[in-house]
Amino acid sequence: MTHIAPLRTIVLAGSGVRLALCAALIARHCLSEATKIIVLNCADADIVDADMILRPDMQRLHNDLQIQVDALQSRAKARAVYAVDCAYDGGRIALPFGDYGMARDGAAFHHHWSKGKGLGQPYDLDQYSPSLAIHHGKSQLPLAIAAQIGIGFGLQVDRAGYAQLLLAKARDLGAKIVSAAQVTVRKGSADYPYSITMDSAQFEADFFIDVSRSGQWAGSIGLAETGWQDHSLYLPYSDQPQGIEASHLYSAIQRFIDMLPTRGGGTAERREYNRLAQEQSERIADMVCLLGNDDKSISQRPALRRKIEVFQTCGRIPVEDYEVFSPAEWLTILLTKCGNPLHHDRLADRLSEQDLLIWLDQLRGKIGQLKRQLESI
Amino acid sequence: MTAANMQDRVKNVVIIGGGTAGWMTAAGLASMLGQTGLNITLIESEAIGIVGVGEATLPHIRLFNETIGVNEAEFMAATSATFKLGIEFCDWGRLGDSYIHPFGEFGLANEGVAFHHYWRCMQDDAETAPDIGALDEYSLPILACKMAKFQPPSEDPRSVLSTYRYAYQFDALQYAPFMRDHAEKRGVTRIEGKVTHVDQDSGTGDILSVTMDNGQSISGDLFIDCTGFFGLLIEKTLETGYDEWSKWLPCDRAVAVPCEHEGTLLPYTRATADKAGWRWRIPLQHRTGNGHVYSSGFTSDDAATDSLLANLEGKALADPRQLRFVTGKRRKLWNRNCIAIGLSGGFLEPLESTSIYLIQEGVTKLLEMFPQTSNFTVHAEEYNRRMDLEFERIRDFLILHYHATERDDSAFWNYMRTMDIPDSLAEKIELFKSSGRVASYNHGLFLMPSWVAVYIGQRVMPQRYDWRADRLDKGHIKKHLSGLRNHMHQAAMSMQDHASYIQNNNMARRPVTAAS
Ligand SMILES: Cc1cc2nc3c(=O)[nH]c(=O)nc-3n(C[C@H](O)[C@H](O)[C@H](O)COP(=O)(O)OP(=O)(O)OC[C@H]3O[C@@H](n4cnc5c(N)ncnc54)[C@H](O)[C@@H]3O)c2cc1C
Repeated sequence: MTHIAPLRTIVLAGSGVRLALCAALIARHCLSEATKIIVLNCADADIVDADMILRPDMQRLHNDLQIQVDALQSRAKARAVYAVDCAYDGGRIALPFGDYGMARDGAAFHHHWSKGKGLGQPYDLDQYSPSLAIHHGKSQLPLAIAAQIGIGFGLQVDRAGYAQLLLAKARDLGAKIVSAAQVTVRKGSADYPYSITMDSAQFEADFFIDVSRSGQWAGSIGLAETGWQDHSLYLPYSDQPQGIEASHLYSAIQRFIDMLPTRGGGTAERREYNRLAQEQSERIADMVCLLGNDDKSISQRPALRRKIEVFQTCGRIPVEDYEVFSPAEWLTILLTKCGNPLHHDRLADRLSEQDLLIWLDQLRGKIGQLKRQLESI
Repeated sequence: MTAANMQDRVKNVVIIGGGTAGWMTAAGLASMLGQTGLNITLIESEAIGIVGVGEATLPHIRLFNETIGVNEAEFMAATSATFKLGIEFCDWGRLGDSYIHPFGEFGLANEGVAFHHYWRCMQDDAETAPDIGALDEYSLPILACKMAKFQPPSEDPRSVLSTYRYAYQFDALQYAPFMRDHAEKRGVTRIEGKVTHVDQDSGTGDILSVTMDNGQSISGDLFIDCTGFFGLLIEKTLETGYDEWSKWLPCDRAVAVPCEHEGTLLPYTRATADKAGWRWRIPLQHRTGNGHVYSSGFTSDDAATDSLLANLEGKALADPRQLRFVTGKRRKLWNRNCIAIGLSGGFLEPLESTSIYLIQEGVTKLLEMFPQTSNFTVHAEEYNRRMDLEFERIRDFLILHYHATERDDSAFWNYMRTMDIPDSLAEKIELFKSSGRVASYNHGLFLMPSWVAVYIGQRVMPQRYDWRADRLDKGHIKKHLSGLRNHMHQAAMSMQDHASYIQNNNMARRPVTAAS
């Protein structure tokens, strides 16, 4: 019989939302009779007294942790958001979480729109985005209603409240939360790879996770960059564009859980984790680079270059293996920065010009109606 | 589009070749772009004929059929088709071994831990192992294969009957005529003739026109090379070059023969490893397709034919036919104004029935990237990148079948077992061996259940499983597994008999004649 040795102690150190998110998810998926989770909640270095945006994918986390809408609303002051405003080199732009219009005849909506423009219909693409209609609208939707109208949304939450909610979840799930003023991490013995001193107490750990933004402890155990090395993980941090922070962290932790090592093991899992994490970071860096419009950096990013070239030529947006941003987000920024593609998708020509104009009109009408309805709530 | 652009608009597509690739491409383009002012002409030569093999498919073909508006019952009847729920592999890991690669899931994941970890955890324990059974017993499509049952999957995601997908096995000689009928009804013009000359632009090298043996010349904006292994445009004309993968996939010949169909109509293809390759058996409504794929470096044509004939399950219906190929792919599938789809673009050998899938992908990606005007550079690069990825990921999966073996009974298997494999595959195997995990990609054909089926089926047992499986009490897991096994067994029993399903649903053969 194979001897499977679970990790005995996983120690996490950091603060704020990052720590809380990581603690809750690890506690949810890794705690067992044999495995302890110790969460070192350090000085408030990472806590910023501000709101944060959670992208729609964070809904999966809330489902997984069974965090209800009520709790998000009352404890984290959550409200629905349908797009994020972000800065780019030409000003500010709203990246919508949901699609523009709807695909038809095998062609994405914007090809139809682009063809319609050529035929003289005067409206901008954002007129066909339910997400942007709500985003730019006057009213704030209660979460319960947002959940009913079938348009993907993210959340704006109070950072501190959200952190507390998640940390309480981690505690309820059985993680041991310890407040710590001063934490030092050293390489440990043959039995336990890490020895952690916290104020006056000491812990041994099979696995150590540095959740701080700056890799506060990673350096002392030889981790120069984010990633998984030996038996420790330094989780990535990105804050641009708005909303990416939590998603990036969430997927990194989820990936770690998917590759959860046994005690002392994990060479192949580590390589796979680092491969996936690297790919994902590249996709975020692509977006940041495009927003920043640094020509030199763009030229060094083949996937981004490809996105720009293909979009400019035919309006398609190539999808890489591990995309982070939705096609609607890419479309918004590509359209803003590159202008209309040279050609629309040939598949859009399946719809007659007359039918196209009628359809575009109807769609815009429906979105206007939705906007009015929501504003009357 | 501006007036200048309109003038430059791609209006004429010329497809050379009327095999599976040619007619699928024609049907796909005509159905999706026919009404956009695209003229599609297909030239084929009856004198040359088609390769006439390629009868087993993958579930994706259903999407293709649906997209272009093929009626399933008509299609089944016209191509004497049967349903396919997986592929049985015999003698691959060891002589005497057998497993099925199913088109569906194994068991159910629990708390984020894939089912095979629970199975491995129980199977690893001497006390629980005897009651657990093989992983196969937790796959509905495998059970259905073994019972010769079929029924379309349920659309209710809560039902165990929703845990599989299906494909078809059809008569290759009837499939192209069926697609031809579909394409011609949607406006494709067919021209009979052999292309003997290709005219290129002296400056750009683009193809301007092709000329047939009767002197007729056809010009076009975009040319699709579906001439099979000839590669008339992509290689003989444009000299694109070929990336050979025969060091990893050394089978380079095949011999094929149909035989009478006897016994139960099975909803799966069989691939039996032989001394220097493997033999296929594909059950159709009216006959069984058989073939032997082998490496000429390790056996002779005569020995391969003898082995094929000795293993037929019914009387041969024709003389054995020899075929030759080189595994690999064109360096560029889209080169200048020519796109190679089908065997002209490459061939990875038929072990996992991926060739028709690659045709489908070729057509789909062409539709997605279809150029409005004759400035193709960016379209071609993107098309090639995406197709290259498809080929490479399939390649690794195929190599796994040959490499993950304990067979040492022939020089061929000794070579395959000990050869160097691509790093991309070596890393995947190492990950599975050490942890039972499957490397994940968003693009690519084969997903986790496929990899797990082949790894476990060929004795690549993970040394460890996800230790979170141990968080559940073994008694609880045992009870759950036993319940699941019974449930799946009952579900499979309740499915219809495969042959009866075909009969009762108006799918019994009524082939389209070639001239229709
Ligand atoms: C042994 C073997 C087994 C296979 N099994 C499977 C399987 O189970 N599943 C699967 O998915 N795939 C399988 N394949 C692959 C499958 O057969 C092919 O992908 C499929 O048949 C497509 O072939 P094609 O149309 O590219 O070529 P072909 O069928 O060879 O067609 C070529 C066409 O080009 C025409 N042509 C050639 N030169 C000229 C010219 N000069 N002028 C005019 N016309 C010309 C021919 O007349 C013909 O119409 C198998 C292949 C082999 C070799």
